[in-house]
Amino acid sequence: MKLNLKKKVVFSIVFSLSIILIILLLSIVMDSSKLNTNYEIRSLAPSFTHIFGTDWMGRDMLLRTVKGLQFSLMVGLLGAFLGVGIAIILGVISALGSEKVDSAILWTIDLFIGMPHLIFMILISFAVGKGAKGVVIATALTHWPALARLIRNEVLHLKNMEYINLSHNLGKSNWFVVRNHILLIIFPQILVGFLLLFPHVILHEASMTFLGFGLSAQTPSIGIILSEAVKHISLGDWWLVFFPGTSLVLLVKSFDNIGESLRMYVDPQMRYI
Amino acid sequence: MKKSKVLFLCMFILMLALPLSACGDNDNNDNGGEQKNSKQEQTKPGERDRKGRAKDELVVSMGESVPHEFDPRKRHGMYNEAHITHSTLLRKTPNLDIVGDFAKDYEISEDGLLWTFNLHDNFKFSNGEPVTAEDVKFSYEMLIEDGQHWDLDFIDKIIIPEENKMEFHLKEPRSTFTAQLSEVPIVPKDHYDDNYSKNPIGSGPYMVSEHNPNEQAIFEVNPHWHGEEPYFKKWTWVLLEENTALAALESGDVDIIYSIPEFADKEVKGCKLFEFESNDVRGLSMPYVKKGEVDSSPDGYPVGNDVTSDPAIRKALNIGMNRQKVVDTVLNGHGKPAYSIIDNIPEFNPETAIEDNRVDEAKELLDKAGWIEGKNGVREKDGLKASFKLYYPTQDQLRTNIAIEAAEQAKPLGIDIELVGSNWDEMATKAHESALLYAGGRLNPTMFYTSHNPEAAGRGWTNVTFYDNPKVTEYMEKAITSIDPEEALKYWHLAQWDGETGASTLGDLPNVWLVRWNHTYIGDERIDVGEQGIHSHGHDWALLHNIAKWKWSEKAK
Repeated sequence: MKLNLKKKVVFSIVFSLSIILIILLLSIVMDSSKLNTNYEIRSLAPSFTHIFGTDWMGRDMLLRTVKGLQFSLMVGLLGAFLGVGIAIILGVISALGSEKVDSAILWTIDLFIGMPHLIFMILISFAVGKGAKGVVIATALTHWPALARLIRNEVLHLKNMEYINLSHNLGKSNWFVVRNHILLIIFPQILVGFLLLFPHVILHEASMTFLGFGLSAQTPSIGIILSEAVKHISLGDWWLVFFPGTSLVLLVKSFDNIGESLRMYVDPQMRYI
Repeated sequence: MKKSKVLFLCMFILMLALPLSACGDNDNNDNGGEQKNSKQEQTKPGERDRKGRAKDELVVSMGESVPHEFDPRKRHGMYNEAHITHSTLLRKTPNLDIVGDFAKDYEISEDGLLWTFNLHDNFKFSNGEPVTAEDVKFSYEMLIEDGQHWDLDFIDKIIIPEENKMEFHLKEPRSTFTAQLSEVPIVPKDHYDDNYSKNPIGSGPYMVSEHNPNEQAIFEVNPHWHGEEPYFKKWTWVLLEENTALAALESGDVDIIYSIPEFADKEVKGCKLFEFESNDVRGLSMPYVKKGEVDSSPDGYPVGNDVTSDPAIRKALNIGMNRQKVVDTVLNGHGKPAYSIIDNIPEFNPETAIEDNRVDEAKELLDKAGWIEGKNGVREKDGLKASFKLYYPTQDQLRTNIAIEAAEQAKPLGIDIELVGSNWDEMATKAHESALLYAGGRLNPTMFYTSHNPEAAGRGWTNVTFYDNPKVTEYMEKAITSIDPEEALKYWHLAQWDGETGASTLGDLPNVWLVRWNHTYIGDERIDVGEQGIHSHGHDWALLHNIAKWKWSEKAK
């Protein structure tokens, strides 16, 4: 049983990783300068020369999709990175700081969670000046609260442990304790949180660009591809929606898989099944 | 994590459901008819199902809103739509001849300053009140005072010397006055206010019996209409987005829709493509002045762009772009290359329809002007990058596609066009400092005049680029104040190119006009849309302008 599960987890991680790697490789290999319109190959169904077909302006959908996913990955990485950063800082301060600081931070977390996520992101992206910048900042700034609360609870739990009290009594500074005793212990949670934030951010990026907030029409992006395809849906060009949509789902699911598998792996209760 | 799972599940379902629902609508064509009652028309086998609508009833869909909303202050009438619900003093025939409408006849004094009109006495508004000279006077004076869109400043005073007669005294002769006289809708003096759009009253063949800005507008024959009874007694404009409109056409809920170029070649059972040449042009507006040259526009928006104000940049784009490729790529071939805002009407100077796609020549021109190719292929001049922002409305798929194509064609020239998806409210504030994906096209030269007249700079959607070329202004003044039509025509041509300068592709045009697109509609093949003439800007109203003359004809196929 134990071995079986372990195998499963490892396999799932390898599989998901390879999908992400393929997308990354493709996006590096393929040349975005070929993203040109060409009226001679407009609205072609998928074929060997154009695996994902072409759109109504004769652009290769595979290239558009891959470049769009690359943008999604970039936004996802930035968003997840920043999100985790903010979550760690606020979570730790909240747990170790005075009561006032704690309640202030908790209040902020509630504020962020309480607001409708998408609308909040649209608001932020408008405030910072739309465009790709707006999307990146908006996604980065809104994905930390849940993780921050988790980290706060973990640290609260840890901070009354005997070894930490000991460390304090030995005259070590708060900073030393956080660095050497706390962060190391909660690192697995942070890693899993980071990986699980990723798909969240990517999906929000896609929904924002789908709604038309942010990116210009020539930037390859899954959200834009999907929203354009919807405008042409009555022509029956199914490949405009199907392939980019499926690729997005695959990418998101891959990150989700890795995150969930790792969580299983580091979770002590699951680990010893 | 749960949330994102739900999210992508929703997306997946959406992806699957959308094409299915679109297909579902197709299948109902043959076996409809369950919902009919005895009063309604029966559908013969093999015939397109119209959901039992009577033959003298039509449902059209020309977009998600009724443009201009029947109010001349919102530009209603400017694009030939006035004669559906309103009367005007004069009117244009499909051949662009000017004939009387509410005016029986008219006379112009020899110095061109006094226009006298003899009016009909049998015109009535849809509420039964007669149309009088007072109403005409009110309509014009209201627009002069408003001063936003209609260039009517040249009118000195309007006098009603006796019943059914009126005199327009002008400050200077005006060769284009007939244009406004055939466009300005006559509104009732006693019933015109800020809410006019909601409950418009006019004296045209149809009256607006319901106008719900989010749903539909219903038009019924004006019971007090003086002219020939229209064939269609009632027609409805349902406000649908393009895809929904196409689906509604296929299901028989709608009889005729306007079609974006991508849809034009779609085959719909029992329907045909209606295609009309237009001078509805699309292109880029390019701010003509440098930053700082003008403090701000009358509305307080910033003015000037250091890149687009360089004549070499505009010229290079004008000669280097491949207009035919834009037509083929974006318009599916349903259109023609365009060179001017008055393309395809007599006042257009055909000399300025230059040969384009001269990429090498354009590059050379930029080299000479000091724009040297830098990193990433973008040119630079004294540290300034040959890059500018192009705003386009994301709601408008046609303009979006043209923007993409234009940016792509500018790249090989070393000019970087940065696309910014936007909306009209924002674009109005950016019009003078950034390029816009612009449009235009009326069936007379007034738009050329207002677009290049320095006095109109920054006022409404007129001279948005702050164009100011004294020579062009001089020619335009001569043309517009000319009494002799032949002479006026000559000066219009000279204003575009006199051998040295002009507002055209050969001169220093503040635009890069790319295409004029054929207006395409898909509709029941039995609709006879009468004599159409060349269409002006406004895909929506253009076909409908003579709906009072439309017929249902089994033979029209």
